Amino acid sequence: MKKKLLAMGLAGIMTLSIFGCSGGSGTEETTSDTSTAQENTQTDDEKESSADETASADSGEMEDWEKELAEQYEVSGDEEYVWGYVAQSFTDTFCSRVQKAMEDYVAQNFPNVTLNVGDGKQEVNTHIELAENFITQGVDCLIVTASDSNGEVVICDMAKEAGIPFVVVNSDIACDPMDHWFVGSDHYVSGHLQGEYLVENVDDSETVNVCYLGGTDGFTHTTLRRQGFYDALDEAGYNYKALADLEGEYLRDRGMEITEDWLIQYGEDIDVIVAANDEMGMGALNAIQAAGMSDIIVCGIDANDDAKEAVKAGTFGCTVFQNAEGQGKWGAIAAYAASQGKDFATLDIPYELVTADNLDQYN
Amino acid sequence: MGNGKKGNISIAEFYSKFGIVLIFVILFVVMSIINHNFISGVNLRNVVRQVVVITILACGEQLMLISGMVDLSPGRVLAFAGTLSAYCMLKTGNLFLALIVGLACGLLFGVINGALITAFDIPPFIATLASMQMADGAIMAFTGGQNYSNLPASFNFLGQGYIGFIPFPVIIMIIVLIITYIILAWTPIGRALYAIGGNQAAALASGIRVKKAKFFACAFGGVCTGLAGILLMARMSSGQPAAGEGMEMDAITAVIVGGTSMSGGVGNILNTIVGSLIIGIIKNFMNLQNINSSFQDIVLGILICVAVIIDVQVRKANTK
Repeated sequence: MKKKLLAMGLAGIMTLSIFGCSGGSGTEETTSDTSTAQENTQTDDEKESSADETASADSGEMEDWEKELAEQYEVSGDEEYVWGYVAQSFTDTFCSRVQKAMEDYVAQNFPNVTLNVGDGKQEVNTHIELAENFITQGVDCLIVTASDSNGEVVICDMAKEAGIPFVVVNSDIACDPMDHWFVGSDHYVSGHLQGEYLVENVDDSETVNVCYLGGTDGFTHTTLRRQGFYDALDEAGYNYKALADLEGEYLRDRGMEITEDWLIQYGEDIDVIVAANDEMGMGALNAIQAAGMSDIIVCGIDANDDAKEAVKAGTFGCTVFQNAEGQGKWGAIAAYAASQGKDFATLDIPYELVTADNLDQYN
Repeated sequence: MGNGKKGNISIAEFYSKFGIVLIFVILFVVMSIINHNFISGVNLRNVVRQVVVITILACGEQLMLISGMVDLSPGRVLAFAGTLSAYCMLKTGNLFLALIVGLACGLLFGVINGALITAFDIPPFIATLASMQMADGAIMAFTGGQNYSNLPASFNFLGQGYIGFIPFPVIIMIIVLIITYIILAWTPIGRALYAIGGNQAAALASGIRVKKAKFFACAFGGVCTGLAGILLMARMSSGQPAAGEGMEMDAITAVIVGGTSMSGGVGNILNTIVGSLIIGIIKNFMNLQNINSSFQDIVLGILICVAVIIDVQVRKANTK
């Protein structure tokens, strides 16, 4: 009991960072649109000046999912707005990238928008206080990257009462979907992609033995990732057997410990270990290598630097990339649409599967 | 519980000597019967290696608890010290320097704890809660939540290497255990700690330098924590700011299950080893059986209750 209580209290920062920005700590800039917008003078196919630079930058770099959205929303504009952005925290690597992408995109494409950013410090209370301040200031749009999906429902209500459009970026808040905008990635898809990878790359003529390292129980995304993974296998009629499924708490050492024990229990029988994030996957890989084995396929989520290296080295099967830059950019576009009074919507920024084949795009 | 054997040996003595070993043996036999993989040599070696970090932390907690204190900071200080050490290793490539930095960081927090507790008379629970917060903040400010990977093999050897069949970290653990045993059994400070835990006023009255002994316990715990942090990061080949969370509770559990009283004055490190091995085999066995860690926590919780209930009952019976 005491352990649970303390663990809950003390684990605050860690778990919140997992929830709020379940993106890991990759720091590389990807082929994002913000960077191309900045370096717009490159010898791409278009040479237009700043008049419609977004259009040009986007048409050059936009991926299919973005094109569809771009038809519905203005990707640049001159209206004058003031926005308040409650960042999850300034220290979380993944969230900082979302924040930077948004700041850059606003500066480039919505030049008359003032974006005020507050450090949420990964605390629900601070988030609420900052949101209150922004609402009192009467911002045209309130943007939040939440720390806790239930704890921050109150912000929804406050914004609604004040009649201020509300955009949630990265991790959704558990209020009525019709009350707010949501820009983020569907965790179900990340698990599903891992499953698809197995279906396409691992031969199932003989039953494939799978061990699953789950994240911390109690978080929505833990459930969704697991569900997405198994669903993908089941939908494809994949011939597999779930040998074991344990809670690795998103931690490398837990993933390592559990894998060591699995290697004792199932040994050579294990074909695949799928982890709900890269850290646990790396832990599994450590254990596998320490045991002198090499033919177990490991999959993770986050596209962390060391996971990408492992994919390159062939010791990792796949990881899944969560698009921080896409979230920041579309967060800004959604905020602009919201400020104009458009109807609430959910903008899905897709997860992307990272394998040896397409690794180059993510470095 | 009240009716023990008559004779020279009291129930309290019997329990403190053999009770915990008995529980361990019973668990061990039952687990071996249920799962034959459990008693394989490699698995038992894994278990011992898996309890290294907790056991080293438990050595620090042992001194704290015996003198009636408790340390809540190791879980976060460990992460800070270990990550700092890994960072230093990456930047300088100097293993010796990395070790010094990790141990010094642990010691620093031990000294902070000691200063808060002895110089300002802050209750240990609160003082170490505060230093835990500081360590937590420091590590996040320092790393920004990022980890440090690609550590060189020399560093990783600390956590993953072998000398013969024996894992290197296990050798370190045994050395720390021996040092702890010597401190508690043979040095004036060890005896002072028992006396303080038994009755601080009496200890003070009999001329024991209470503050010095307490300060030493804190500093020693800090060094243990720093060492544990280095070994943990080396084991994962990565400096992980999020690692170690809540490990102080496992360490305290090991000490308490090993029969050390929360109120101080009683306890010995040999039983603590058994305590941490019990935690180790329970976790290991449940992983082997594919039982989720939620249930591991429940079982460990029950274990703490049972250990303390027995402790209290035995003590009551003994004072009659």
